Amino acid sequence: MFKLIEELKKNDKEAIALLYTKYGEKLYGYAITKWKVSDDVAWELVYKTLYKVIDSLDNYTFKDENRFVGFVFKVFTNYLRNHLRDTKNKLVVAEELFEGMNISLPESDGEEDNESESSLMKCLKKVLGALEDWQRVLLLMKAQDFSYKEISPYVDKPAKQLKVYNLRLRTVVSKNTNFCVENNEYEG
Amino acid sequence: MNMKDKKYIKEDDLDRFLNTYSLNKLSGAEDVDMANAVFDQDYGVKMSEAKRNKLLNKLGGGSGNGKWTWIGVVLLIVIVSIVLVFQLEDKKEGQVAGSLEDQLKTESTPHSSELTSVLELNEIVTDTGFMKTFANIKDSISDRATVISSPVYAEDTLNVKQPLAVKALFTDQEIKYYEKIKKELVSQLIVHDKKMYTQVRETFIYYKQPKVGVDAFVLRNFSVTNMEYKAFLIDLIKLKNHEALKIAMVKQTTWSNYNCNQLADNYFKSKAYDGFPVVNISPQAVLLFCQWLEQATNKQLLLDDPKAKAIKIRLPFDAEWISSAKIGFAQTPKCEGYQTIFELSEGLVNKAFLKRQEKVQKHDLKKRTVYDNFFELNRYGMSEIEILDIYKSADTIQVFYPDGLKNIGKVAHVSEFIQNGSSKVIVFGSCWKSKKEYAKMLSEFKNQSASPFIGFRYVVENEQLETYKNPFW
Repeated sequence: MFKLIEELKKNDKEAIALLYTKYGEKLYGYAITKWKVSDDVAWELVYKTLYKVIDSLDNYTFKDENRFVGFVFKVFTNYLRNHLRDTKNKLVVAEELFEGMNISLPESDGEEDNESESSLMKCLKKVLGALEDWQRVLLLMKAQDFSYKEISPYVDKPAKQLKVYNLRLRTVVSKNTNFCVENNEYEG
Repeated sequence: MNMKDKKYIKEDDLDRFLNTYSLNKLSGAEDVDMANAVFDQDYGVKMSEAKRNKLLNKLGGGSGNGKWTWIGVVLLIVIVSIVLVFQLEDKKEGQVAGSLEDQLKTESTPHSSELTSVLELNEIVTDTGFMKTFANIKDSISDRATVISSPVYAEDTLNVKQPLAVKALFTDQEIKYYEKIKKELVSQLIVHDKKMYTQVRETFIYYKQPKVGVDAFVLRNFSVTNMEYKAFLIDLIKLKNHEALKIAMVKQTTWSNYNCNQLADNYFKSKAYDGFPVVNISPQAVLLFCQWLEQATNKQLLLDDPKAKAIKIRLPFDAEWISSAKIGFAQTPKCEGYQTIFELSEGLVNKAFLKRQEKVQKHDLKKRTVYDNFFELNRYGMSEIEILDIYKSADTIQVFYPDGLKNIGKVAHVSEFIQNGSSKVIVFGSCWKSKKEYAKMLSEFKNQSASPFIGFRYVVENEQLETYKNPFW
């Protein structure tokens, strides 16, 4: 197990400060710039995340730092998702934010059709699943307002080409998702 | 399931669904690649030290815990005590020297005032740096004092004979008021106030040729108003920038060519029309305004953050208007007649665009207000009484920003300057009775270099927001 976790388990102050510097500060910036939350909300999300991480360390074993990084991010995403859902943030479809796509949805304001919306999400999941990894990463990162320059290293494509790919993919994904909804292809 | 009950994804709304998918997925399963991608970035946002300390303290990692907290408290008490002792001693000395200090203070007052004038002048000169080429910036402190302390007369600044030249243009009070308007304008622009500006994402449109890609941009929601234009003129006047002023001055007398004498007297001058679109200006004046606002905004941006990237302000391109209208951000009036760049008969847009427009307009019906009726009327050819009757409906609109401006924009409904693919300034407008009438107005505009029926708005290019990279052709 790597040193940071061992030190965190001892509630070492320097380790907590390092946890903040390595992850907390990045998550704070990520929440503000990509998800447009206020600095107070970002602070709250980071605090809850780091608290949860430190508090749960005894229950988990991490093979390497990568797994730990994934865990920190997952905890943060959970809090972020709950916040965006509760505040009905415009960057997401609040009614569709829930754990697991087969869980029944909370009641909406009445105008939305929950059943067909979840069909739509199921179709979107299916269509995205059929894409190549780099295509999916491009679409998802761009939707989160990452710049093409920032996305480029993760998709291994020149930043200049990404805009065209993104526009094409958006059309394909929208079209295929709607086709899937139309033909109930998400079923089974 | 009934076919009608099915929900489909719209490409314009895809991001929201993708974000929802991301959050559902990432909060359910660990994604090391995405996590690393997020942690690898430099977001340029840092928590304040106070917040950071609070967070670390709450987590148990702050340096303020345990014995160090007590040491800190003791040190603080010692420092405060020392400061108090020194202050008491100073007070004693101050009482002795009091009369002398008062005397010095009285003598130094005029100098302080002069210093303020110099600072303000420097600030303004930097603010409108682009005008240095026009401006004579050798103004002395006394010149500056004259500008600030007495009403500014058009005849002082403009050596042109206009009916307005004999009247006072702005009083001291007005200067202060419009300076405030300028500050508001700049700060709204910096934060891209959502009620004032719309971030239009990149898209493809069908316009003139089969398919054109339009980059993302930020579009102002309403035309530039008289009050904002006054703030611009005041900056020019302060600089005694005669050349720029000649170009920028509003040609109010143009109203008279359409037998609108009351409007010639009041439309720009009276505060009652402050929220109305500025009209009777030349394309050159509009370009100067864009440059002025760009400079002022970039100056403030750099003050806020020395690493900030400069923004660019310019007239919208025709394709950008089409793109905004297609996505549904730019409201187009539902009316018959000649529609300039939206004209189907000239093959500029296709039927799909019009269908899309109908859909957007149908959606807008839910939010329709009384002001939309006026939005669907072109003012050209109306008598002054008819125009004033329409304008009167804006009397009850109290709030300027932002809803008031939105409604006044509809009441006043003007055509606008935009630029085409060759960066040539053109005029676009809706609800013209016929192409012939539009051509007539254009020829009058060419003769007068201004028209009461043409205003403008601008587009913001903000690299930091990735709203713009390259032109689309």
